[in-house]
Amino acid sequence: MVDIQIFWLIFHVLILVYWLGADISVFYGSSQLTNNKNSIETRLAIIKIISFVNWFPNIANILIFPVGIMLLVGLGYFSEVGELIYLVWVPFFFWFFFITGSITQRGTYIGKVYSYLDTSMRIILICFVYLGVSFLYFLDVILIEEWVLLKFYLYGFILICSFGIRYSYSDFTPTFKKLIENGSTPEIEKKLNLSRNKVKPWVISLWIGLVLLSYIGISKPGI
Amino acid sequence: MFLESIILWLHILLFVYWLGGDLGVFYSSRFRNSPNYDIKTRQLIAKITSNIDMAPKTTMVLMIPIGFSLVAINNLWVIPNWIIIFFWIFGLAWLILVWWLHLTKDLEKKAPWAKFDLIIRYVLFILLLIISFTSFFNNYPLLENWLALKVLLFALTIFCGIMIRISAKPYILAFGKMTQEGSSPEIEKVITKSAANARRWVKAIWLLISLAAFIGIWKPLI
Repeated sequence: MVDIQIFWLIFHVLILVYWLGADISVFYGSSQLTNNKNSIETRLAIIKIISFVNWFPNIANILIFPVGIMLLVGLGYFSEVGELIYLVWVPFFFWFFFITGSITQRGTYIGKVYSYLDTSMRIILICFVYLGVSFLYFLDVILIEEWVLLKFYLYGFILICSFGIRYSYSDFTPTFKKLIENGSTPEIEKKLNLSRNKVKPWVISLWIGLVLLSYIGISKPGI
Repeated sequence: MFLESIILWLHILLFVYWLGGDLGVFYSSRFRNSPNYDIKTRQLIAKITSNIDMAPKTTMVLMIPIGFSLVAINNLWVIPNWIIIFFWIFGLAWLILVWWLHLTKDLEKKAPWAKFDLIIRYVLFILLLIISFTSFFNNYPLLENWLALKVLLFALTIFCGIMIRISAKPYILAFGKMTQEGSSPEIEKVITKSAANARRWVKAIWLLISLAAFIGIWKPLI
C-alpha cells in the first residue's frame, strides 16, 4: 500500500518539474521574441508557445504552497491546528481562479479586476510568510523548525521575484501590441529589449530561490 | 550526509529539467509541424525546439553518473565504490559528444559521430537491461529490487529515445526537403505521420521517467 505522503511528495516534485523545468522554454522563447531578425508572424507563433507553456509555472506557483503544507502535515507539523489545516486549500483555490481570470480576460475590465485580486493575494501571502510565520515561529505558537521557516521565507522571496517579473515586464505587452500593429521600428525593438533585460535578474533570482527551496527540502538542515 | 543530499538534489533537478524541458519541446513541435506557418517561422521554431531539447538530452546523459553515484553513496550495489569514477568519465565524455553533435552544423562531419552516439545508446540499453535482470534474480550488482526496476525503466527510456530517432528519420528528411523546395501536401503528410509516430515514444518516455521518480520516492519492497 502506498502511503499518502508518497503521493504528496511526488506531487511536490512534479510541481517543481512544471515550474522550473517549463520555465526554460518560456525564458529561451522570450529571447526570440525580442530578436528583430524574426518576422512578426514568427514572433506571434513564439508568443503562443510561451503563453501556453507559462500556464504550468503559473499553476505550479499556486499549488506549491498547499501541497508543501500537506507534506509538512504528513511529517507531523501543524498538529496544533488539527483538521483546520485543510482549509489552507481554500485561498489557493480562489487564487487559481484569479490567475486564470487575469490571463484569459487580459485587456478587459474584468481582467483588470482579476489582476488586482491576484496582486492582492500575492501581497497577503508575502505578508503572511514574513510576518505571520515569523510570529508563529518566534512566539512558539506552533512548532516550526528552522528548515521549514527557511522554506517559508524562500517562498516569500520567490513571490517577490514574481512581482519583479510582473512589473519589469509590464511595458512588454503594450509594446508588443504596437509591434504587431505598426511593424518593427528601432524604438519598439529597443523598448522590447529593455523590458527583457529588466526582467532577467528577477527570473534568475526566482530560479535560484526555487533551486534552494528544493535543496532545503531535501537536506532539511538542522535536523 | 552533505554529499548525499547534494547528489540527491542534483538527481531531482535532472528529473525537473528533463520532464519540464520536454514540455516546451513537445508543445512547440506542433507549430514546427503546422503548414499554417511559413517556412522561416517553422525553421526558427525548429531551432528553438532543438536548443530547448538540449536540456532533456543533457539531463538524460547525466542521469547515469549522478544516479549511480547515489547508488554508491547509499551502498546499494556490491561493486567497489571507486568504480563510480568510470561512470563519471563515461558520462562527461558522452555529454561532450552530445553537445558537439548539437553545435556542429557540418552534417558530413557529424554523421559518423551521430552513428557512434546511437551505438552508445544501444549498448547502454542492453547493459542496463542485463544489470536490471541480474539484480532482480541474483541481487547482483544492485541489492534492492526497486532499484533494479528503476534501472529497467531507465533502460526502456533509452530504448524510447532510440525509437524517436528511428521514427523521426522520415521527418528530418521531409523537413529538409520542405526548407529547400517549399511545402507540398506529400511533404506535409510525411511530416505529420512521422511526428505522430515520434510523439508516441515521447509520451512513453514521460510515463517511464515519472514512474521511475515515483519508484525512487516510494522504494517499494518487491
